[in-house]
Parts: sequence; C-alpha cells; structure tokens
Amino acid sequence: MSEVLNAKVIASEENHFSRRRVVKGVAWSVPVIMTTIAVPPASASTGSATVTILNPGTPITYSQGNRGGTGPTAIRITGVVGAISGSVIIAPVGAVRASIGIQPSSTSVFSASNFSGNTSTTTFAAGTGTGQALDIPVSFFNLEDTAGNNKPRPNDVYSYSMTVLLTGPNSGSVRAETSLTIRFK
Amino acid sequence: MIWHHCDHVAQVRTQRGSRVALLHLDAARPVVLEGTAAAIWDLIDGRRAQAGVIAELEASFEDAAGRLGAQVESFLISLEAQRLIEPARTTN
Repeated sequence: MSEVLNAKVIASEENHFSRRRVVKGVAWSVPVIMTTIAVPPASASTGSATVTILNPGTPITYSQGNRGGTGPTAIRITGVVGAISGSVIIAPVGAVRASIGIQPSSTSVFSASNFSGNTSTTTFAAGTGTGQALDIPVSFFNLEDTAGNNKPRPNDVYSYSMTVLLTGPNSGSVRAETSLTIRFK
Repeated sequence: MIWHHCDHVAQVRTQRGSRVALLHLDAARPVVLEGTAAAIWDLIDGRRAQAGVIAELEASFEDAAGRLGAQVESFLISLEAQRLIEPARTTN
C-alpha cells in the first residue's frame, strides 16, 4: 500500500487512456475489484462481515424453463448487526444464448432481477438481527428465446459467474463469487 | 451506454498508472484496481460508449477465450454497484 500512498493524487477527471500501459499482445485477464476489506466495526456491527456462498455446484433446476444445471443453494452472511444490502450479479462466461436471474418469492429478500444483455443484477436488503449467521436461500430462473436463430440449441451448456456484493452499515463491502451452469435439452 | 466516474470518488495511482486506489467519499475503505481493471477505469471518461471501451481493450489485449466483452460488462456493473461509476447523462 506504500506504493499507493506515495503516488500522485489525481484530482482531475481528464484521465485519458494511455496506450503506453498496454501493448497489443498482452494477454487479457479477468478484471477484478480488490477488496480485501471487511465491513468495519461500528455501533451497528459486531465486527467484520463475511459473505459465503453455500453449496456451490449443487444440481439445480431453473424455473421458467425447467432447465437443469449447477449452482449454489444459499448465501450466508455473518458478522453484522443491523441493516444490510447488496447485489447479486450473474454474468455469462463466454458466448451464451440465455440469461439467468434470481427467482423471487413471497419470502425472498431479493428484488426483481434487472437485465443488461445477458447479465443480471438483483439487489437484496435484509437485517441480521443479533449478528448470528443469516442464510438467504437462493434459486434461479432463466430467460431464453423460444424461436429464431438465437434460441439455445439442444445440449448447449452455458456458464456464468455469480458475484455477491454485500454492503454493511458503514458502506464497506465484501464479496464472494461462484459459478453457475445451465444445460438445454 | 456511456459511463463516467462518480463525482465523489477520490483516486490515487502509482506513477506508472498500473495500480489505482479508489475511495467513494461515503465509503469507509478504498478498493484497488490493477492491470485490466485499471485499464478499464482509465477508459471510462464520460465520452466513450461501453462498446468503445470494449473495442479499445480488444485492440490492446489478446483475448484468446473471447470473454473480454462479457467480463468488461460484468466489471462495469460491479463498479456501478459500488458507486464508483454511473451512467453519463446524454442530451438529445
């Protein structure tokens, strides 16, 4: 972090992309936001929050299409007392012809999923009461064209990344990631 | 879609510009972007469309797996979720 602290503060919005940084031929790698930071202790918190995705890779069935695949069954949040909120982002890995959202229900803490292309963002809000582990069940649905050239083909298997971003009482954030697959008949 | 940096985000970078620390002024702690993430951050200028950002990156990086576009889209959504960027207002 000392390298960052010694660096020049850039106050201007005039940040033009410098081609000196990258040269054609440099291999692409997945861009990530590095947050090794837990939600800081606060009056509404018992300490650092953690978010864990439970049972990744479990055989699941997507509603609104009755498709099979694999994914997690719940999100576990610990270490916070008070209100929490966050979002779940499900983005395709490679070419896909379908999108996946979080299935809402009457008892769900999730809002309706919003789609941008084949990427969905679903927000959630909940309270963790006395700070004990809060398990949020999660199930999924898929959207797909049922006719035309963009219809998924039989035996297609699509992969997606699922990122959970959790914002705690002091606006700090933590994240967890897993993957989803869906198979078409 | 055109994105720009949120007004309430402070940034500090290394002299080479390969590492950027960001802090939303309402947040408690910074986040750090390196490599491709920092390159994307620099391309978000309130003028380029998302497709233009992806095109710049495709011209600069080798993407043998063909996942660059989807990963950039997902990354931008993550930045928005953390209030580091927001859609630019457009005038018609």
